[in-house]
Amino acid sequence: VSRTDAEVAAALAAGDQSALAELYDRYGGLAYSVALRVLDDPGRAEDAVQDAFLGVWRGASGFDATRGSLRSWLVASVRNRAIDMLRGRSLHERRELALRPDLESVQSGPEDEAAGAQERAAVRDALGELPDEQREAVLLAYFGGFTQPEIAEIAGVPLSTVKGRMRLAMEKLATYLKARGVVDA
Amino acid sequence: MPDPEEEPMGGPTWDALGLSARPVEPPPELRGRILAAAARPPSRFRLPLAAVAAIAVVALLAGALIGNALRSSPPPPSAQVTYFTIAGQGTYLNVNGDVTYVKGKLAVVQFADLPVLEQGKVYELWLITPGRHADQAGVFTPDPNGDAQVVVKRSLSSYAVMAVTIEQGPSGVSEPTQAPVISGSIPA
Repeated sequence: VSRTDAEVAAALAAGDQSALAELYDRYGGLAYSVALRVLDDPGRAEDAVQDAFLGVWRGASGFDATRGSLRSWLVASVRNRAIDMLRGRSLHERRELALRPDLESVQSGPEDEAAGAQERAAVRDALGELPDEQREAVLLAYFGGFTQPEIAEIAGVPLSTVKGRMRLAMEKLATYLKARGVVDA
Repeated sequence: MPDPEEEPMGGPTWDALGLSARPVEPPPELRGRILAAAARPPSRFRLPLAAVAAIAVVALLAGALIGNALRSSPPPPSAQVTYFTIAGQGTYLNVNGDVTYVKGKLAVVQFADLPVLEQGKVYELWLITPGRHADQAGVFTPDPNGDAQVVVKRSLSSYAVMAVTIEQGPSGVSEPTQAPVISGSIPA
C-alpha cells in the first residue's frame, strides 16, 4: 500500500530511505520533465533532479504541509536548480528555451494515461487559452527564470505592462485550474 | 522571497505550471544514482590542521564575545558538542559547511572551497524553523582561498535546517530571496 505524500514526508524526515525511493517513483518523471523543459539538456537535467531529490531528502524535516504539497516543493526545488544552471547561457538562448513550442508538440501517449495526465492536460490547456503575450510572459518567468524587468526588456514594453500581463495571466490560470480541480478553490 | 509586488509569482497556480512540461521518462539509472547518493553518510570533518586551528580561534573569540554567561560556566562536557554537515547543491555540490555545535550555546560553521561572489553579493546563513520560517544567522564572504567561518551565537534547538543563500551585500536581506546553495538538517 503506497503512502500518502504526508506520510512519505514524515518518513523522509525520519531518515527512511524507502520513502525517498517512493518519492522518486511518484514524482521522478515529473521532476525530470520540468528540468528538461527548462534546460533542454538531459545531462544537466539529471543533475538538477538529483540535487532536488537530495535537497528534499536532507531538508525533509523542514517540510510544512500547510504551506504546500510535497509535489509542489519538489517541483519548485528542481525548477530552481535548473534555472540556477541556466546561468552562463545568453539571454537569447534562455529566451529561446523558455518559449520553445513544447506545449504544442505534446500528444497523448501511454505515459499520459498515468495518474496526473488530466492535470497536465489541464495546465497545458489553460496556458493555451491565454493570449500570446500573457503566455509568453508566464513561460519566460516560469521556465526561463526571467524577472519582470527582464521580460519587459525582452518584449520591448514598459514594466507596468508586464506586471499587468502576469497578473491577468495568473488570474485566468487560477480560475481555469480551480474549475478543473487542479488547484484548490 | 522575492518582493510580492515586484514578482507576483508563487502559490498553487504558479506551482502547477511545472505540470505543463512534456512528460519525459528519466534515464533508468538516475533512480539508483539518487538513492546511492542519499545512502552515503554525510562527509565528516576532513579539515586541514589550519582550519581546525581557525575553528578553535573563532570559538575562543566567540566565547569572549558572548560574555560572562559563557565564561563563568564550566567547559561543556564533550557529549554536549555535536558535529554535522550542511551540503552544497547544484554548482555548489562540492562545497560543505562543517558545523561544530555546543548545544544550547553556539555553533561554528566552517566552509571551504566557496566560490568567490560577484561584487556586491554576500553569502547569508539562515536558520529555518520546522514551520519554514527563516531567521538570519549572519552574512559572510570567503577569503581568497574560499574559506570562511561563521559563529552563530544562539541555540539551534528550535531550528530544523541550516542553509546558505547568495544575497545582496553588504548586510544581506531580512528573508531569503534565493534558493539555498548549501543546506542541511540540524540534528535533534
